[in-house]
Amino acid sequence: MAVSSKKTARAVVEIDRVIGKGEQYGAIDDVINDPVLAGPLKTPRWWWVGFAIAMTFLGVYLTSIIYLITKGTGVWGNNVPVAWGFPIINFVWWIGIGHAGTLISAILLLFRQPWRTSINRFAEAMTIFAVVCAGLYPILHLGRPWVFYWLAPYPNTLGLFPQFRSPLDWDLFAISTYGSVSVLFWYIGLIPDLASLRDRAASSFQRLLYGTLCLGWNGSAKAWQRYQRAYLLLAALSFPLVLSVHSTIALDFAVSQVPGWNNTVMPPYFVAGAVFAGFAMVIILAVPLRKAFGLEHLITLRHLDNCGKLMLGTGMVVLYGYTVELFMAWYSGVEFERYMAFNRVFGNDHWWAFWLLIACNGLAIQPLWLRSVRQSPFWLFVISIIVSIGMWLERFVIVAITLTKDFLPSSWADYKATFWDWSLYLGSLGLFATLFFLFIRLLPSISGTEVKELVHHDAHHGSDYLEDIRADFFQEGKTGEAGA
Amino acid sequence: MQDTPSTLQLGRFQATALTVGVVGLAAAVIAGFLSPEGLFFQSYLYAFLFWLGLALGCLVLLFAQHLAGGSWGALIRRPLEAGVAVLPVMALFFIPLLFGLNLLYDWTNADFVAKHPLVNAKTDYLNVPFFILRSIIYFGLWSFAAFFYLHQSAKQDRSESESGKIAYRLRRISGPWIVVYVLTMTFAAVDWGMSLTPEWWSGIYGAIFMISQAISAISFIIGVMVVLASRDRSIDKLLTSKRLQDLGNFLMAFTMFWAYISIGQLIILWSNNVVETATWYTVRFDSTLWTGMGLFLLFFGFFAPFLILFSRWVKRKRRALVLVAIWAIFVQLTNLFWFIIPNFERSGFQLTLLDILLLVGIGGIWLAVFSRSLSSRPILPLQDPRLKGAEHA
Repeated sequence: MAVSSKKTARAVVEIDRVIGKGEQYGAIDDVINDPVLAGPLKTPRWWWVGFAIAMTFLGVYLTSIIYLITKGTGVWGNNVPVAWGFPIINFVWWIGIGHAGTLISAILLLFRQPWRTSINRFAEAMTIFAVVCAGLYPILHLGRPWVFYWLAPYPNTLGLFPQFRSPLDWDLFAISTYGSVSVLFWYIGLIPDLASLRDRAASSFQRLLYGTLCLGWNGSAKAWQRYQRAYLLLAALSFPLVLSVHSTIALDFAVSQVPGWNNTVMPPYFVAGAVFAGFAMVIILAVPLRKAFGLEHLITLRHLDNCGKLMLGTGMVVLYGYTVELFMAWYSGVEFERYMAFNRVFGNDHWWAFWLLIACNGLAIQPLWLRSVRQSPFWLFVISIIVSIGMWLERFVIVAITLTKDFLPSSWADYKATFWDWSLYLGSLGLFATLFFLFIRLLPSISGTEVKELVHHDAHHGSDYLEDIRADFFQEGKTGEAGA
Repeated sequence: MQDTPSTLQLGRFQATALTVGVVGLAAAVIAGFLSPEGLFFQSYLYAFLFWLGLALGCLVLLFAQHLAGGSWGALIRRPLEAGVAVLPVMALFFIPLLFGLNLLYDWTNADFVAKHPLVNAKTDYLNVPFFILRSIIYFGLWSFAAFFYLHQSAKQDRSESESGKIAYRLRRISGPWIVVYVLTMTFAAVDWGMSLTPEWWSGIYGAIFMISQAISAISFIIGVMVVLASRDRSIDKLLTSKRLQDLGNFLMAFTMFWAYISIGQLIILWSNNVVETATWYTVRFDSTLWTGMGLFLLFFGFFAPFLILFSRWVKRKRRALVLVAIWAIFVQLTNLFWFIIPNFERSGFQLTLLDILLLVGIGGIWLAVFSRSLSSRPILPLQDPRLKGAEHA
């Protein structure tokens, strides 16, 4: 009885602590920097295995691109009316994954959420790699990728200028801004950690490498002050990007008149879907990472719990989006809208995709209401994989199935992905994984600087005082009940 | 906590609000008989939706603070609960609307429906019996939530040993209740607002209503908290500049989201340029008055408060933040006016005496019920575990 009362009270009053109790500065450096500074021969075997698999898929990716460029986009399943097949599905999927990184690094920083600290660095890396994977798709989709710069408004003798009313051109600006701000933010955050690597480097090559990368960081008060200011400014700059990038992508669809796309609920619903998928990917990366590097005391259950909560919350918004989409399609009274909804849900060819996506994004996340599931790395990992599949299916339903049957029955056509569609998709996973494996080997995957700030905070302005007060309160409840 | 929070004496305020309310309503009824047919119900719908929205905003903020709130949530809990206590009264205020349905909603008119195939296609949803049934369900659920949360809260006040358990229970069910609120309010917004233009549809419409309610409610709460702080020492102590800033940040975030989805709706429907979805904006961009009001919402409803709320000083100063909050309520009143009234194609100057009389009348009753509920219990939920040690945070 006493235990349960303590448990209930704990559930209501969150303990302010994010990382384990009694961490030391030096120990944190050891844990974060040692794997990076270890010589090539000391690289763990799991890394080599993973890297080899990732490189294999990267090979598949490059082969697919070479084949695509020599043969042309006809190697894909894209057709008329489904002019936007896999390339756009995968583009939206990848760019969505990036959003969790930006949310963690920028928004949670501005909202002073201490739990972002251990997971922000690799989440930001994830963002950048996801943007790389995403950005290549529309370029390849152009058919003549070597002239992609025609999208930019630059003076030329071709009499060429972009159509600014087209959201496809907004994409160019949205994604390039997003990519560059994310890289800057990530790099600025890395600088003190790079300096710490330089100072601990064992070989002269490492000293040279990290010494160059850390831009001569000397750790003076002035350097810290400027660093903090730049970091906050970039956070403020990234804040609107979380909303704007995926809203722009939603507008790619929504400003058209295609039934199923022209819905005003699209922008916020796309943003929520992006954060949803992004947090799934953060969990997919965090769970093995903390195990492999023994980081369980830095990426704690509290982090996973919060990621699970955010996944549940954004997942419910996405589910709301599906509900509104279907209801509005019916409520519009427009024949084409209604048929679009019918075709998605009951259509002969692809009904399974819709129901599978509801199962993945709607049903599979419901266990996250339970604390025990949110704090189980295994179940979180499983649910995150399911969600990633579900979010891919969502884009498949929105992009491809919507297009198969629009206004004119005479122009209806089915959509079948080809081998090269799949190979390019699996290959892009290889690109992502390769970059990520290189990242965790060459750079610290946790921000040592910020974790040390937390340690300092815990040691000097610690939350122990509040915890004591609350503990007293639970004690009261406990003795009260014990007496009864 | 040396100063035990008092139970407020709001008798005089309550009596005044009640008098204003009754007089306002009586005057509105008289003016309604003298006005052209239908005008009364138009104004009534507008005033009703605003005050209902304020109560519902309090409801969803109450859920949210139970779910995620720290000490700031416990601090504003009583005013939120008092706002929620008005919900059953608002259910009664809905009844008069039923007598004006045929004057407000074109889809109740068989001739209109026959001439409009798009409306004809949705009569399974837009018909009077189903409309009434849905409204009963909405108000049933909301009133149930109000009774349940107030009941649990009163229980928590009484027993110290149970308080942790009750707080935990309220926290656990608040998530599902938010889902219920979002779904019911989405359909309620379709029923009461969107179907005023029966051919028109927009997926985000319900969300605009909800965020507008949240803005009104958080602004109202900021105002109430500052007034309470001037009258009660324990609140004065707990309403630190940091907590005030938290509330200000909420107001800022809500305002940003409101602008984001409103402008998103405009961009999408304007680009679509289809008869059935652009209608709503054609009416609003047809006359200088409505266009001007739209621009006012953009510049003074979004940009001005947004830029002002960037300042930490404003969010930390009671008087300054209250001014922004009052402005935000005025903006939301305007926003609702812009949403509802253009549908009726009134002639001449759009704001009528009836709009004001009914706004004041229903508002008077609203505030009377609110202050009655607020003064019936100690002004701080002392048994809330989140309040333990709050004065040090």
